[in-house]
Amino acid sequence: MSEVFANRYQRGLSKRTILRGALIRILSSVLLLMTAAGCAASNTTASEPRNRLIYGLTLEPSGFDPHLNASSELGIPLRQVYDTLVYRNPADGQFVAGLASEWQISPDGLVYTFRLKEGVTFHDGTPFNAQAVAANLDRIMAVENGSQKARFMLGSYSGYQILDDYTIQLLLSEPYSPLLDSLSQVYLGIASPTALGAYSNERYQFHQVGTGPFRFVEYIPGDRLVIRRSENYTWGPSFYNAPNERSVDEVVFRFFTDPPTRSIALEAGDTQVVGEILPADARAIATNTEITMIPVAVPGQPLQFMMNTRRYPTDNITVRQALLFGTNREAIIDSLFQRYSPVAWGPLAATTQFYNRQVVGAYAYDPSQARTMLEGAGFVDADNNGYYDGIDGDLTITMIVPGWGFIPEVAQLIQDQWRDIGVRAAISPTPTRTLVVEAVNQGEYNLVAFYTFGIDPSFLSDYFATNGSMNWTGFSSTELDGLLLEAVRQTDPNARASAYATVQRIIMEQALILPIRDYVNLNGVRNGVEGLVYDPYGWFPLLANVTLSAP
Amino acid sequence: MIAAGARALFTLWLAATLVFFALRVLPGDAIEGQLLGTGADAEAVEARRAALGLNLPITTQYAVYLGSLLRGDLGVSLTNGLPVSEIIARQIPPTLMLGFSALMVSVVLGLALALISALDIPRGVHRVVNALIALALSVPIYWSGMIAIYIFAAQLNWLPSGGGERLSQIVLPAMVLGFHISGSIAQVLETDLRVVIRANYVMTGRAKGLSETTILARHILPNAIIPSIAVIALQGGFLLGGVVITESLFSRPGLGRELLNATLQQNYPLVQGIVLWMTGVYILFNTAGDLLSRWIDPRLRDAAP
Repeated sequence: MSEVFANRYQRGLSKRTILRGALIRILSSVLLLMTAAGCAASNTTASEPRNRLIYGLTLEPSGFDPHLNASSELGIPLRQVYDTLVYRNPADGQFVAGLASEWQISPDGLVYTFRLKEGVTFHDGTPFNAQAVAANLDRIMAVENGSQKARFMLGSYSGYQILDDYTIQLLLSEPYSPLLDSLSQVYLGIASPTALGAYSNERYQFHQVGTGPFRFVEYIPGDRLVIRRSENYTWGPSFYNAPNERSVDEVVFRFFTDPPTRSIALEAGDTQVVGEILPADARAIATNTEITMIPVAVPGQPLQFMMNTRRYPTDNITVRQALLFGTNREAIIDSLFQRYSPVAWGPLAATTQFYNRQVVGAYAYDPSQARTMLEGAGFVDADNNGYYDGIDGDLTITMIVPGWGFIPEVAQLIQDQWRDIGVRAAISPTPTRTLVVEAVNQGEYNLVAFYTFGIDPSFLSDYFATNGSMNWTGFSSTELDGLLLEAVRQTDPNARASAYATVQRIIMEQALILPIRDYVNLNGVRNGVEGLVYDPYGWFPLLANVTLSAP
Repeated sequence: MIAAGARALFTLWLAATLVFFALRVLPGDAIEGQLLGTGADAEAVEARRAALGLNLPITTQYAVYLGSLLRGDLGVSLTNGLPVSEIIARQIPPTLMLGFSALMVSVVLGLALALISALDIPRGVHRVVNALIALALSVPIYWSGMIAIYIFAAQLNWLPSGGGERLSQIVLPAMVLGFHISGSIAQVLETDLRVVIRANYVMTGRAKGLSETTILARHILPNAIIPSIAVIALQGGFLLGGVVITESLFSRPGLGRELLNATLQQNYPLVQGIVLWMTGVYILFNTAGDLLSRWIDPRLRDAAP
């Protein structure tokens, strides 16, 4: 018996040995193949650009066409691909020559004449000229193309006139002074008419061609967008340096849509730059010596709640002012924004053009003042439950609270703070933009949060003019309407500044909004990335000057 | 077979119809959200809606939708004009890749967890294993995903935190998703194993001197595994839900992330297209599971379908 067993055992062993031998052979050939593949892969990388930057985007825009789509995120890669007729200098925000070497505005503000640079070619070899500019304007204005933003940025634009190959006039039906500001933005970037003609509107986003410092390589939805440095780019704005051997020559943009993963991806080195890091994460990685935080203030409107002047009790100016006094903005910024954001005092963020410094400190936190004002307006707490009495139960403020930008958290804190001034806040969560519009249309709100970004404060007309498309305060005054119109029509910057100063003062005197904080984009950058500058709009990096230090 | 086909078609139609109307119960549409705060006035919004046929009565829209569906046309995305079928086709491979990898992980892991727990080898470990199974079943994938990223990507730096380009980037998401699916597989398999190891034929096998390995491989596993196959097939459903979160969390391309974006943007045609596709896959999974169970278990072959 034992012999049989031993025999079996030995046979088993030998079989096993054979098996093992086979396994080792298979494994080693697999390994060999993998090494070969790895070699092949590294061979190809050797021929690829040396200085590659990985840049994390925070959301994937639904469309990447700057003329047709509206997302801020699309401008991060495409600002590098397109030149605009004019640029804003990142150092001082002033307009400098882009594709236009010079420009003139007629005294009546109706004709903008652009002298275009000569010798500029698109990345596909198409020459740049007045006809190219015209083709772009035609594409943006064609209603059937459904431009979501660029078309509206052109304001009262009514057509163009080509004077010669390098001179074009933009004609307006009425004065519209924000035009230059619009023309400096990537949404009005100039694309190759050849490429625009070769692809349909929905295809062009995969084959974009501009004149900028980088050319568009590929966009793979959900995965990446790649741009590569364009050789012989010599017509750039004054603030672009000539590239050297350390300059970035390829940028790969990836999407980090889930906010908490952004700082982790940065720490793990899966991206070298990423924006919109959560404030708490930013505070935490501030101690990481491999990462530098670059907070960039974004001009435009602050995080704000518009107060409905047509609905009880915010139809009463005293109530609106009391709410302002009863809100501790410092505390909100401390706890939610980790002190990365400045307190907002008026309808414009401090970095916006024509910002009125006089609003600073208006309605600084003073809960006892808030209570005094409410009592002065006749509110009492008859049932002694801690809340003043309204016409129907407790004095209640209904808030439409959109689901983005920390607005829900802000509303929560406000709800707590208003308990101290005897006001009940009823929060109505409204996750999407569409639902916000619907809720506003129903009209049953006291406060609604919404804000827009931009340098030129012409957007205030949408929000505070009587017939503004987003006049959600319901406020109407001929004085304010006149000033807003004047500010858009005037070409003289001093006259505009003075009109907007008064506009801001009136909005705060009337307590039409509850401003909370100026928006700050928290960008994290890994060591080795140098020369990263953001343009004055706050969202868009200027990558032409970025260099990578040797690894 | 014909009945199964008819049933599948009916299910698809039901899904298409439910999604069509459920989406439109929500007020508003993609266009309002798109043009809000861009300077567009109400007139421009209305013109855009008219151009896309969104101002037609809902019954007309439904008829138009069904009509084009019958022609195999899923419509175009409301946000960038691309054909829905093209967007879906592009996102299928990464999702399939993740789903398949996760399923492999889950089957291996589920089998291992169930065997260790049921046979209790090594001794005492089954408590730990049971805790793991409970964790896989009860903890939200979002949480475990974050923890996995934090440990393996940020702290240990073993694996990339996400992305969809290199093979190494799929390891972490597949492990996380696979771990969660393995929970229900292990649970069902373990229960069946416990029943089967006490079965008379197992005792008979031992009595006639079969080795433990033979008993396990030839008698215990085939009998215990049948209900699990149905469970594995049903996990296809969980997988479809799981990829929505996993893809976003790990910054991967795919149908799940596309669905999440499209839903948030109220991009009706895209949501409808993806849901329809997912329904189809689900039906396929169930049918496959059914057929597989019958093939493995002769007793089911003659049973009514």
